[in-house]
Amino acid sequence: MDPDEARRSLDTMRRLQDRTREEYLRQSFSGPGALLVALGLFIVCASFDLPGRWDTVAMALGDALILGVLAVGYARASVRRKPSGAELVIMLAASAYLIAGFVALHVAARLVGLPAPYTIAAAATALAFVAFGRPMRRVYEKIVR
Amino acid sequence: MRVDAHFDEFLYVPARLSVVALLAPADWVDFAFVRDTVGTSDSALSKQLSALADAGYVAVRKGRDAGVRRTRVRLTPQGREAFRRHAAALEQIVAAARARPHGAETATGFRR
Repeated sequence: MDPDEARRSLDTMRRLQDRTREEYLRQSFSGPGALLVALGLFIVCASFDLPGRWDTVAMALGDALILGVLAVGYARASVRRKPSGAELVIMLAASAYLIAGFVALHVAARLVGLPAPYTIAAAATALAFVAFGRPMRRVYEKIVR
Repeated sequence: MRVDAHFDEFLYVPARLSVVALLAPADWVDFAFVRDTVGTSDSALSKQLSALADAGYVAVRKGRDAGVRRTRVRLTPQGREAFRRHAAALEQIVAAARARPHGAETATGFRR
């Protein structure tokens, strides 16, 4: 095999590997899926404001929505791969930030005397989840490549 | 170390190399995604996958996901290792050509 042929083979290999990685990222950060998870997140977080057993019902609904979206996304995924250690760490860190942000916002809303402090904090948390989607994708892109 | 020691004759076939390259970054890949990305037909891809499976490079799994029939393909550890070695051999060929003085003869040990 001559060097030009080897170079062309390597270019083709890299291009095809990138296509697989792009597909994995595309399905992991799909717009509708992220919006539905954000909605589920809002329902779960806002459920604490609901009286009686309604909070349990709302939390179950939100959890079911999040898990349902994740399960359908996994089943339909054309590219599956186990998340790497770095991906898991980023995912856990992002979740910890969201929870900490939610708690801080709830405390602030309560201190200011806003009505339905959990709902306000839940809305901000869900918006933050959507807003962080693009930067998270960039971070994932670097890890996956 | 001779470059051709790691060069995989079996993966020299472009269609096979394309499939293996596409599978390399993932665990399982959908048959339809491979077919569409490589730009081949169902039957041609099935033929290549059979050859790769017979060589122990890929595993094929047929099943249902969310009620839809799906065929998924993955590289076996043996296939992954073969791909890694083959890519390294190609890198070495390119690197050797870069290091050679301009106009020198090819010295990679095999030429097709």
